[in-house]
Amino acid sequence: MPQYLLFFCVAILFLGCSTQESEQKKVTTHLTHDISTKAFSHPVHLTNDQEDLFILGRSFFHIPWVEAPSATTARDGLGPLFSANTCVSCHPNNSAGRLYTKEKALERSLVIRLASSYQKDLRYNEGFRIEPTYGGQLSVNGTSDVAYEGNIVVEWTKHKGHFADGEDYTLHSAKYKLTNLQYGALQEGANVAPRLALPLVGLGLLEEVSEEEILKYEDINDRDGDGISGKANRVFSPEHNKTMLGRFAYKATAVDIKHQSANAAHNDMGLSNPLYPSENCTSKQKECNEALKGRHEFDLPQERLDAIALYLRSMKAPAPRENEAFKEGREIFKSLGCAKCHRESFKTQNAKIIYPYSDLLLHDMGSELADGHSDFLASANEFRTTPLWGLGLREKLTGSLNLLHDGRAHSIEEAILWHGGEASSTKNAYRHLEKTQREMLLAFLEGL
Amino acid sequence: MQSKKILLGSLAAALALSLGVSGCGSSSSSDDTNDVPTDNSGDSSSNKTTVLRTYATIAEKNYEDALADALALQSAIDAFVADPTEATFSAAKEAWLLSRESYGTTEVFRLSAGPIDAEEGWVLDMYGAPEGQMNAWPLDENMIDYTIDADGNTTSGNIIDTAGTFTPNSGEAVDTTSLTKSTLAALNENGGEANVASGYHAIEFLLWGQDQDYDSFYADTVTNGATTAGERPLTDFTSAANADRRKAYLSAAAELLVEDLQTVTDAWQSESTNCSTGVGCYRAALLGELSGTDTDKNIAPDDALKTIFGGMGRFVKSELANERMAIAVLLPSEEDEHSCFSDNTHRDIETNYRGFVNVIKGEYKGASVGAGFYEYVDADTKAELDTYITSIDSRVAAIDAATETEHFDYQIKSGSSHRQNIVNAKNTMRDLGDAMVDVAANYGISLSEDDVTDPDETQI
Repeated sequence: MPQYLLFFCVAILFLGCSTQESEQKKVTTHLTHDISTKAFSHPVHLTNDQEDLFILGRSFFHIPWVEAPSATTARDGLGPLFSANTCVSCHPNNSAGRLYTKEKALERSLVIRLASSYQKDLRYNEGFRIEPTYGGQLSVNGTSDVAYEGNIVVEWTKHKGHFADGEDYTLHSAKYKLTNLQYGALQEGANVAPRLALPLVGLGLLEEVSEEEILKYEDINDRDGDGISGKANRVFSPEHNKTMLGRFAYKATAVDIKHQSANAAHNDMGLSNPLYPSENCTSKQKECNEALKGRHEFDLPQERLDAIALYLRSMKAPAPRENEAFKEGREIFKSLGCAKCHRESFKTQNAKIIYPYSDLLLHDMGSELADGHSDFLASANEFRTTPLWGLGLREKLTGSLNLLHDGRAHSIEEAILWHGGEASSTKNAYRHLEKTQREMLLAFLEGL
Repeated sequence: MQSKKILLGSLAAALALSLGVSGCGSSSSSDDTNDVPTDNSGDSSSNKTTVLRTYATIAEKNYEDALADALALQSAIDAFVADPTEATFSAAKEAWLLSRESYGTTEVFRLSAGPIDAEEGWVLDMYGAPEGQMNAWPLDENMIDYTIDADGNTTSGNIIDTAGTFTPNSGEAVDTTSLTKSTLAALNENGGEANVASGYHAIEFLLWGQDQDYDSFYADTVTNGATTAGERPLTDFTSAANADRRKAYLSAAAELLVEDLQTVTDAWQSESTNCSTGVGCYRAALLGELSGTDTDKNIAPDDALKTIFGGMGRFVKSELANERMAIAVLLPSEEDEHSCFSDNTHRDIETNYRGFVNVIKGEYKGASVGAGFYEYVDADTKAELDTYITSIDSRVAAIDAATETEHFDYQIKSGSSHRQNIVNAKNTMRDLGDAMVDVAANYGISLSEDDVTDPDETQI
């Protein structure tokens, strides 16, 4: 259809027909040139029915959910245990979360995944075994009669290093600890894995990429010997009731946008939904289990979950802001080997060429970045290549810049320098660049 | 009460019909021909100034009317507060409904960096963007006064029943010992957009109370009927607990509303210009008439038109079609209709839309004011606009007429024979919003669909 329209417009252009303007406007584009704080919030052209769902999804994404029961019958069901009461609290302007509030308190957009010390004999539909008392994620809030689970504190350590040309740099690492645990001690040996909310950029376009297209780059045993493996995660989809290719979240544990949205609604906000039908209480949390429920079968019923997924799926991706330094930086990016994992482009099933700079595959990122958390095929050291589109806009949209899964990196350069594992040699190549070349590479990343 | 509402409804329908008819026929009224310069293109600087002048004149007339009607509302509220009887109560509600007629058409001036809601720069500094204090919506009525929830329980812990310190949800504490306009200003949107304490809709809630039609998207069963609005008892202002606080609240809210409306009306005034007091300053800046130290406030015609065209598109598409109609009809949820306490939403829709048509056509109250934006667009764009306007005219009139048997909160329900009309109306309003891209092109101004779509529409 878009191609057909394009031909139509070209034809009109030659004929000098006066309806050229209005026809051109309807040609679908999946990029926005807006670089304001709304850069991640522009939908593609939608039909009326899609636009209806879109605005519903947006309202559910933004409204504060309230404790059940409430006079606001349409929006109750928060918790009983939860981190935040709106989606947007962790995704300001559809961007990534930040570590600190303006008042310097730890933000809710940093959550803690918890896993049992015993991870053997997992069932086919279990990515990891949850911590027996607190469950799969720590909730820092609870409703009126239900105690929150605990608080998170972070300790920072500085690490000095230097580039090959002698210039010094400082890296930061964060150690997250739990305090004020309200339901007793954590299981001995339980794993604590911090996760900062990811930006919601170009998700619909990534969903349009076919499985075959992603698997083309899979190279689990590094047969081509380039030092880069690349492994697809295979995860259980509660919606489709089968194991599928994972493509979203830090460990590629969500098969699609709806899966990830439902998971976040359940774990971050305590909203039961068709994919995660229970409240997020463990059997050891009496008050949580006995708390008053919402009036309805699900706090977030199917049509609302679908609406949220459509809302996120509809967003345009930001167009890169290309200048001379950007172009030179892109060449350096490729020659260093960054693009081996941060794959430049995909052709989607709708024949769009997109530039997410990710292969959506898992890679070993080394022991320094490892979080100890395994999930389906993703091991403790492995993370999905984070897409880089929108990277240069994130600080503006989020209000601060915290990169990597635990937010430890305060700048793009710091994030590069934390790369390890399969990316060690590429990282070292970056360390050996001349300053002007490093600056061009950063200009490229800032322009995404 | 019932008979008056029906009378008002049919009068309004008749008005809408006559406006609609004159609107359709006036594509090139002979009255205007003398004013039209020989250059008939939008992309000429004199024509740009001409259409901006018409826009400013409509704003001036409309805000003057809105202010006069708000003053009448304030008088009616003062009379009610001094002597609360069924007669004064009813008169106050009548005055509120009338005040919404003239205010509704001013809303097209929003989202255009003007005095009502500029988000930055000297216009914000000078006029303070009072829109949120005047017309914020939707509001959490639980914050203002008691409500009855879906299980029949009376809620408490609100501004009215808290004579001491009140802390809005996720907000900061405010001393509510006495309810004055500064108390309400401090409470409004304190802690979140839904924490509305002032403006038309706060007054509406105090006059009508809840319109308990919980029979919405979710299955609950409290409903008072298809043609019944809120029915707050008079005793809330006489013998009930906190009657005096309710009266004080009403007086303070009316006073604040008039004050804010005065500020905006002054900004558009053409009689004199004073950028120290703000009087006439915005109008003069928009028309590029400021001189001396104020010269740098002048807004270049292309910038002004770009902002206004984008703002109009966002208003009719994102605000009216989406936030005020689509959300309500899609959920469907009475909590998301605009004037949900008084059941006046059909008039909000008509007047908001009429305000848009006014500035497109250079009209006010059915009479020509001057060359509107419509004047210098090509035949294709005109035909496009006419098609949408003709269609929406009849659909909006139909929403209005249907209130005889079903108020808007029942028309949006699935199963209502009137629902599809609302769906079609909002769909065509979206097209009308998108058409501003074409209007802008006629003035040599480049807009995209992104510019006429507000990614940050008011959230419910």
